[in-house]
Amino acid sequence: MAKTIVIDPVTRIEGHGKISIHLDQDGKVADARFHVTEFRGFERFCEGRTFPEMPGITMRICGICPVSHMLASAKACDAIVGVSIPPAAEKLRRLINHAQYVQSHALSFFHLSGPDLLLGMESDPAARNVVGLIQQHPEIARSGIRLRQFGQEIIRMLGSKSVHPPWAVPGGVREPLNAENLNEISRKLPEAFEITEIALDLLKDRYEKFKPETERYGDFPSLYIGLVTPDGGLEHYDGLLRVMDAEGRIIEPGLHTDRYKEIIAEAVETWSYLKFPYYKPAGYENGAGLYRVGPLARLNICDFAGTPRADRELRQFRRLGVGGRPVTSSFHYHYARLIEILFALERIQELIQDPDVTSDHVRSHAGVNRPVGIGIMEAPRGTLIHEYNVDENGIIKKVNLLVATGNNNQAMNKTVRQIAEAYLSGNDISEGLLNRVEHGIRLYDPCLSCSTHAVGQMPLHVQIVDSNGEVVAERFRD
Amino acid sequence: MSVVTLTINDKLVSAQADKSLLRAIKDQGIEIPTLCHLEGLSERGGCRLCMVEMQGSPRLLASCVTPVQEGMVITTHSERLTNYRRMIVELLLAERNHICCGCVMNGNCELQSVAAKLGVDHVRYDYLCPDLPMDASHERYVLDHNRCILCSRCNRVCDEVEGAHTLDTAGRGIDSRVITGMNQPWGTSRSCTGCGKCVQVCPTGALFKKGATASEMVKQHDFLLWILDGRDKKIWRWS
Amino acid sequence: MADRRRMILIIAYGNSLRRDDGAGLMLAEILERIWKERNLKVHRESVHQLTPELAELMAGDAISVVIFVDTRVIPPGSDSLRIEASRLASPEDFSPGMGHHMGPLTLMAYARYLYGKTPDAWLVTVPGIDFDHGEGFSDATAGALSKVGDFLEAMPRNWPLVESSPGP
Repeated sequence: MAKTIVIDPVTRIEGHGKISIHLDQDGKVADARFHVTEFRGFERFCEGRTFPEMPGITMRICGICPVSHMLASAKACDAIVGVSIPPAAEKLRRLINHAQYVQSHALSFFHLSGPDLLLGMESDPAARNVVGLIQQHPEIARSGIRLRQFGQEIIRMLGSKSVHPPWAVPGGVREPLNAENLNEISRKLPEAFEITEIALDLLKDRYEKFKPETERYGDFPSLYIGLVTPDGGLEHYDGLLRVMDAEGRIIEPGLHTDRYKEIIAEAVETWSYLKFPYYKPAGYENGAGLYRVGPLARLNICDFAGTPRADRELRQFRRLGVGGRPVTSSFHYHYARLIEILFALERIQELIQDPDVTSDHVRSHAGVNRPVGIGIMEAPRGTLIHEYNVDENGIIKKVNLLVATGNNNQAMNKTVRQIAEAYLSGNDISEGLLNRVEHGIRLYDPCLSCSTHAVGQMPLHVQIVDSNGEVVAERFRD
Repeated sequence: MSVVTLTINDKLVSAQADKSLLRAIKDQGIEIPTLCHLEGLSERGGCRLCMVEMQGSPRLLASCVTPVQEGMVITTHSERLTNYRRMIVELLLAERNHICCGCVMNGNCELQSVAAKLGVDHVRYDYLCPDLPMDASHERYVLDHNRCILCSRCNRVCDEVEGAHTLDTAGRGIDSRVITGMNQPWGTSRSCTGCGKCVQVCPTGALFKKGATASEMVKQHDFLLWILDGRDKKIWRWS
Repeated sequence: MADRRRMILIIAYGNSLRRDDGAGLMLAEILERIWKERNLKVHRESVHQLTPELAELMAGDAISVVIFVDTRVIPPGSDSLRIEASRLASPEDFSPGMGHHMGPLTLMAYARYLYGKTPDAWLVTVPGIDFDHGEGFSDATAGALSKVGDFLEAMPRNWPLVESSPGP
């Protein structure tokens, strides 16, 4: 009789966040399923509204990456009106996006993954948490906060001039920066660089210690999807969709984002009402079309970063891939995130020297010119797709959102399965297993907060049920 | 012009005989909530927020449509009045779909501000959540029935000031809707001059400029007196 | 008297588009208004979720007490329908086995270990049942919010301010 182990994060909203590990009759891991956030009911908010309202609505639905939703939505709206936005607006949108990367990746590295990385996986759970971390490494934790504040301050300068405004709007943005803002940013930039370099050293110093994890944490070949610049560089805001296979071959060099449906299709599984996106040409069967998005994917697919310091790190990062192949271990999401912070900081440094960012010409106006608008950008967690259908007056008829966590859905399942295969023995739900499953999921920095508001909250409930349906082992962890 | 004397909140005051009670109350610097009233338009007495108590009358009076009279004894604020005013605002909020955070008028909305001033923290009534459309067929403006409170300011300004009478209200009770033309899509109306006065006088996000995003719409009501003073009194305030 | 002019920091968190999840944000606004009417100094931060940098605010010199305001999940039909308040233990006293997520206790620890401050702190919660997409609250939550007066009545006089500061 097959057995199922359920690891159930007790979350506020039903319908997401559950992990189950399925065993076969021999007690071996057969499958693992991670049920991620769904957007049930979200369409109700959007359908029947006018499209210019969408950036404001979508940024409010998610508290953890409002900037990403705002930008993807604004891009979809740009496509509906069919305008090319003023150069200043594009630069400002890029600037706020870089700032978003800094604060988001810093939260992931310093605060959510920090305890595992800096204190070690097998450390006493009573101390292996943020409190343990800040007691042992207060300076690092304070640095993490300062780095986040740097990003958030830029977001605030641009985005928060009134109460909860969508700063990015169809056709551009609402307001530019002023000279005072620029001074402020350039004054704080050196410290942000310094903190990022410290974080890079910290991570690299610990690589040896985490060798087993590196090999077992979602280390599997997969496809990688993300945006690149037209000449193949690292890209976070716009660009072309590129697909790389497990061998590092570029199988789709650069597809216009409007044609995304030619390469991404959505499958359905009976055990979940979530969609399972896959790379269409490879098919869904046996995980052939499984792909990963996010920092790891972006750094794998790009030919270069395009900024000096990030490129230097990228060359080191490439060495983690065996025999010139892509970097496959999801453990390296951590490194990838830090490289992306560096990249974002370098880009911010460039942008604040550009006279355009204080230009007043930041918004173009036009009516409805196309019935469909597709906005694709790279959220910190990965590719984010907004697609809207509107009627001739601009009333929303249909909304399709494919969020980064959804794109990583299959990869997360596979990661949990791999960890369970390596660390689960019998019915013993060890602390180490819990930690690793939790960390395995956390590598993808899944956006469970679209619906609830607890950052990083992942309380676990594990049950082992024997063939008679009786609970033989059970563990809770808040 | 004859003058009457009346008592407002225990204070003896005088007012011109042809004025409304609301005017007299406001002249005393007393703040009283209103939604359907707008300086420059005829009074409708529709929202009932300006209700006051009058000694000797068991009924409450909508002060905007009550002329001042000699010897009136008026109370503008009491627990009973506050309760009723809150109830009115709650009913308005429950009747349609007022989702503030995504609304173009968030932060500048009169309904929102009246609700805040009255301390409406929650709505005791079931939200009706009606399935209402938006009319975005007009080249420049959008009509969103979800945010409409049927104050009829738009109807009145269109009729009384612009003289087009494109806007009206159809249906009764809960089925009432602001309509354009002969209940045709706004964009097909031949009487609409596209002047936008209706948009400027609308207290909520029911009428707004096409393309406006959340919290972006700010309406200017003062244009109305500016036009009327110029037209009727030949006084042009250029500032 | 000087003590009474110290700052109350309200940190409310929730998603105002997930019905009762936003009840804490609403309660925070009500508390802010009531306390300001009493001429108390209040600073309110309403956020989607708690993040580490809030600890720096908590450690501000003017802050004498921090009030976290959140929605508490209750099962439908539960009779625990009141606003509840509990005093948070100081970081030295609680067992830190609380995983990685940012809760009020985590922020207390941040303020303590990173900035050397231990302000008095309370967690005030409103019951919530309905976490669907939308604005507006369930009857249970709306009912609890309407009884904020009773809640304050039941708390000690001058709450949340205390006479002497337990500061570091």
